[in-house]
Amino acid sequence: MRRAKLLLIGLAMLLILPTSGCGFKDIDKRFFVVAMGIDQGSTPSNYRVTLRLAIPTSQMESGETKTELESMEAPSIAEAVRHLKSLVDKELDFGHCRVILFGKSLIEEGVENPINWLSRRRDIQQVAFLGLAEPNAFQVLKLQPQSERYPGNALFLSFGSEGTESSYILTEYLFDWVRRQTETGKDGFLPIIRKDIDRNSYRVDRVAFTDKKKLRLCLTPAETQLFNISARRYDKSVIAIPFKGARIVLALSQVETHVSISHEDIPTVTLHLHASGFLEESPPNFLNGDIPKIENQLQTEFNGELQDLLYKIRNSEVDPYGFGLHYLAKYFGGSKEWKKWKEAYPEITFRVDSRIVIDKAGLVQ
Amino acid sequence: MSRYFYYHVIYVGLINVMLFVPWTLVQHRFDGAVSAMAIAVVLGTFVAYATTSLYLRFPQKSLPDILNSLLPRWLALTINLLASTLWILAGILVIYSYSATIQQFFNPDMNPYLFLLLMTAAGVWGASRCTRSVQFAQEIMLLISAPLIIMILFKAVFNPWLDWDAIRVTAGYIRTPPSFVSLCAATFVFAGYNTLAVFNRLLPQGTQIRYRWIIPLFCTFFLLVSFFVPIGFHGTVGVAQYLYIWSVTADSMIMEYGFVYRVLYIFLLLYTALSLMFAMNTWHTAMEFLKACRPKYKPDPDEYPTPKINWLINIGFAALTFAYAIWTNEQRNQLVNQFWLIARTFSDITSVVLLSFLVWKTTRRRRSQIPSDAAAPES
Repeated sequence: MRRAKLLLIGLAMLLILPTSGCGFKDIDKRFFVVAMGIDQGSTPSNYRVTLRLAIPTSQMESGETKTELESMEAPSIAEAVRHLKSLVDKELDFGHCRVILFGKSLIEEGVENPINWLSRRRDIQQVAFLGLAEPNAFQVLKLQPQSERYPGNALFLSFGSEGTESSYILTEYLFDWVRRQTETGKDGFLPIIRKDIDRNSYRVDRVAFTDKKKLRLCLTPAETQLFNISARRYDKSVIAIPFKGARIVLALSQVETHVSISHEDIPTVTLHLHASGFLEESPPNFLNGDIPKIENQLQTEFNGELQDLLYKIRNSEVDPYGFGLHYLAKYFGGSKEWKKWKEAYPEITFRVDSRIVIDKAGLVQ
Repeated sequence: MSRYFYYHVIYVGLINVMLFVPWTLVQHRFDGAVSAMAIAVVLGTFVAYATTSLYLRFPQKSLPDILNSLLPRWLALTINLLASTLWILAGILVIYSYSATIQQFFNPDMNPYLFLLLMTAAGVWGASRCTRSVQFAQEIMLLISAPLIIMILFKAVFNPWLDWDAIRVTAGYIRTPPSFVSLCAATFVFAGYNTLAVFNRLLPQGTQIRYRWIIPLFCTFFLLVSFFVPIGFHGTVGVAQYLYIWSVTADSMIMEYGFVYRVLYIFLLLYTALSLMFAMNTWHTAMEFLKACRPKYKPDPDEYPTPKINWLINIGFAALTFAYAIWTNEQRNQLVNQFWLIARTFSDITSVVLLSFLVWKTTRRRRSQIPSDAAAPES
């Protein structure tokens, strides 16, 4: 009995031998891809894949991180990645690739093939951040900001809520983008990433809208913020209006939106928005002023701006808000309703009904 | 004691992910999955209530014991063999899909049979224990994984990126006539009661299974989550393109300040535990069914030391798993899964009918016995 037990333990120990982890490659024999860029190649059928690879260092000083940039052109992304492996001395690992950038010219042409590669690869995270790089991904990835503490982290701290939280930055994940590429009644958006003029940081303050095939519209920074508030309920943003020669700036602390769509031949979309916040800038002696009057003015101004934005987006035939899907959801519609909506969409009317409340006046009167 | 029963209900309700239940439902989302789910809630609850009540009529007896004592031997033998086939296959399917998932997401360079070996080794060891040990192991494993289950469910349902519009659009397709495969797939979520087939031995005489509303409540919740959450994350159209639908869904969630920020790994960790639990249970049950086929079989839920036959039978199951892994590929595996889900639904309904018949038979026998006993002293 005892001998049998020993034998069994011995056999179990043998099982340890074939499990050496990481596919037999140690961590120091791997190159971690921290960001990836996909551009159009020199001919329209080619792709240019750029990888930013982290070089591990022992010190953790800002600006001391080292990364390597490798770029390769091939008829497909998979081939380009395979070819890139011959340029580096270590095994490429996409497990930590948190940012994927598309070049602007690529998105202008079409985005189907890159998506296919990205969703087929099991090691690409579904929660990788996506962005549209201007003028192209290679130029943006070439930048090495001084503030980086880990290789590539300046880029991904911009997104999500880990690092900076700016109302001009929209966060888009890979899974959301893929879903929007196929969803009925909802189209994709991508934040636009540029190099800042001082060449030391990234500049992410615009958003691009795509339909199912290609790029349709790019917004200005002010419109981007408006989109972020109204579509993504982003509450760390401001609403500003001119008031008696000065500017009133309301920093939002809470945003709630609700969309209702009428069931007519040409539906009317009403966007209800409830926002509250505190004043960051206002004329002196605000408390003596007429708060409801200011709130009213904020509302009318905001309604007008948002309405203009909605019409602008509608006129470029995209639907990043997902009004179409909401319409189907509201009336439990099938393909017939969807056809009706698609025909009506270029002519639908928008109404914005906002309620803006000033909670506090800040620390001074 | 009835808490042990609910452990079975919960892990079977959760393991549906590994048996392609969400995948099957999602393929039919526009033609009958939602209505099939609605019917499955009613049907599943009814069968669960009926089966548990019927087993309680046979205290401390497993299904093979009941069959052996009340049916002609050839019939009991056939049913036992058929039932054990179904149980073995359940364990094999889960172990295979789990090791395929792991291979896909952890390390595609790894030899696929290596992980299968590890899983089957653990499964063989767990399933060859006595019934009571299996039951206790169950409790410990489920309690350990409970925080993970709660965390993933919570993260999924309250995720701001979950698109409720897509969920509502899909729910609107409840007006389509139900599809049969979806119905079979959806009733599986309620199938935890089946484990009473062997574990009824451990329920002492006079046990009441109280709070049975837990079954419809939890299982309906699991069913809705496993179908609607992937749709909420990947859209009404996009969801159909994924094969490992829940792994991809888990990968769409992040824990910003977690130890590992990809929820995928937590999810895979949880399903390691659940798959092992499921394999342990199903193989143990299958083993008991097979053992009951011997003519001079004596049931014993506390056998110690482990008899050699337990090892042999379970090693046989492990060998079958390898044979299945060699034979199968992704298409075949899905076909077998669907076939299994359908077969299981029939077997559940048959077992309710069979058990009601046996209950009726015993009560009639008892009734006819009482007058004759009463008459005996007089003569």
